[in-house]
Amino acid sequence: MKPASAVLRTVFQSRFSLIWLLLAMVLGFSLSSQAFRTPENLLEILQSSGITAILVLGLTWIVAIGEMDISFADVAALVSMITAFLAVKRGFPIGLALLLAFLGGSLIGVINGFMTAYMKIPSLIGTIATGYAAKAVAKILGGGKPLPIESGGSRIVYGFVFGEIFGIPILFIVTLAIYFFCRFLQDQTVMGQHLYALGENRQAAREAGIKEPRIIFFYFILCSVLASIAGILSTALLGSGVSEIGGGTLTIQGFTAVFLGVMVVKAGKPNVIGTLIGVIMLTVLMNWITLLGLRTFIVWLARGSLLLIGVLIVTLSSYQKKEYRIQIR
Amino acid sequence: MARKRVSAASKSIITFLLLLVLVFVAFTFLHKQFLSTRNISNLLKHAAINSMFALGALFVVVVGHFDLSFHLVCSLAGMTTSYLIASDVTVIPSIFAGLFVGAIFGFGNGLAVGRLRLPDMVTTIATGAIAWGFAWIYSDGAYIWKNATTSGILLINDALILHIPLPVILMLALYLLSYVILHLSRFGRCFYSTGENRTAAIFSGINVRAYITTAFIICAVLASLGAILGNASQGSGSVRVGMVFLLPAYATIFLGSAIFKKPTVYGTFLAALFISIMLNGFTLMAVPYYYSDFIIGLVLLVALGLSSDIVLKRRPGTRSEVTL
Repeated sequence: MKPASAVLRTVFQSRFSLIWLLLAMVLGFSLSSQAFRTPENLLEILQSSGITAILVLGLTWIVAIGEMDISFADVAALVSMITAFLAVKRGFPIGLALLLAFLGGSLIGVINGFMTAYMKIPSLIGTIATGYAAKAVAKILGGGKPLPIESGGSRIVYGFVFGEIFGIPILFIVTLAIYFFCRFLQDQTVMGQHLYALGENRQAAREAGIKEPRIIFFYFILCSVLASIAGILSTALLGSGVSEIGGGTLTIQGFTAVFLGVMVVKAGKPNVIGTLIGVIMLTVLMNWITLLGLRTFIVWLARGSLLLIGVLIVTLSSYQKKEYRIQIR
Repeated sequence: MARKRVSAASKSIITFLLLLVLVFVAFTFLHKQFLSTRNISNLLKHAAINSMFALGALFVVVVGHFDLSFHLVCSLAGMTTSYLIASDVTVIPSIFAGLFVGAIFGFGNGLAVGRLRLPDMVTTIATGAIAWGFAWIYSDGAYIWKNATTSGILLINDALILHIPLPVILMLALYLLSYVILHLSRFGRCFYSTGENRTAAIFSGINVRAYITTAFIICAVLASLGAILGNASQGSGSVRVGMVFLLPAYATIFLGSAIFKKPTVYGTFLAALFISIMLNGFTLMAVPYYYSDFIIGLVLLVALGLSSDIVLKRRPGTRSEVTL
């Protein structure tokens, strides 16, 4: 049994500060805004942060390795459009459409991984190219417009997205489960050890016999697979295939969440729990800003500054420690 | 040895020119308007804007970094110029104010990446978002066309000097200047060695930070100029003016690098012409813009595949880190 002061000290460590900030934000916004504290609004926050969280889970590990993936948001858009295109324009059964779309999205991951791991192309430029190609294909499929899916959507997916248990969306519960499973993978298994070893010192990891290309290949595929799942979920949530999910803001939101998350739990390293906190925090903040009805430029300034603050804190703290430096060029 | 190198470079140029001629002839056959004076002039004007973005980004690529903010920073610069013109400021000061705003953001990027050593891509994504936010201040995202026709800003796109459009002359002058700086002067050597082996560059007494900062400033200023030209050609200031130039700029640089084995000014110039011919041809044939996005994406992928071992050796983890 630890003394109370020791428990308090653990709870208020700096690596948990973001969690306290999040709680303070939710509390403050709820007290100040009537629209914020309605159950519908809170439910919406949980729903949309669930989808974003699944979308950026893979990105967390890509950044931890020291690579980049710009294409994840476009992969989700591509999956969304393929589903809508096959189901609406070609009359495929929704299950088959979902499967094909999922495979299409994962294919982008295979290309990304192959380019980065085996052809030694910098992941940033490679994924810019595949991301643009994916977005272009999504637009070609829809003729530049969103494709609504009126009827015949998959029951399972709809039930998954809109269902609730005791007032909490199923989607959010499942997201939590996925995240805790991934936390286990990341912290308790050899796979996670290799991940951070590669991120910390690529050369040393390679010489210690870690199969670098295979691992990088795997994580790029994983990233696109998770993005594809998020694409399917958001198609169900929006009821239509869209070629720019979130109006093109997902890329920056994803990176902001990952870099805010670096401050949590494992100080200085991208990690899944941190990303989850980051995603929820961003969603809460953006929701509040939207409710206030602020002008667009303030929203963008907030987005950019948050990401910049995240990057600054990570880099400046790694100056002092010298133990870990994010090596993305 | 020297002669061999020269012949290899000229072989690359010949390959490239053949490629250009091939695309040119193909489009001439596909569409009979393609060779008209008017279309060629449009093509060259588009090439001028497109290649200005690519030339700026080239400097950043040469020092071994990436800038993902110039397409948004230039929107802010373009909007600043349009806003000033709309509030009755004369043309030249407005243009310089726009370029200055762009330069501030370039300087910020350079400081963050060169001095604070923040990771370049994520940092520039963030600064890009901030610049984009500021670009919305002037009109909440609406087009600004007040005074556009009366102030004379359109002349920088429409003026002809010796029957050559002004943007084209501007492009040629800037490319010539960059060629002299990057390939014929000591400064160019410093830019290249900063990118190729930073440790060696530091130990040779090169002020690495200064070169990185300069590269980011050049990138932002040239992109801002491109945006101002783009706004002038559209006749109004738009917050989205730069959005379409991010991918073509990188496609251009890497296509050039794929053929000339390293990022060069002449490679970028020829590749920019190639990409502009393709885009112009597709527009002429009324292909929707998203098809050309797809094709440019493919061109970039192929270029990356061809140039992967040569240009892109500078991988994280393989490069030794030296604390400045």
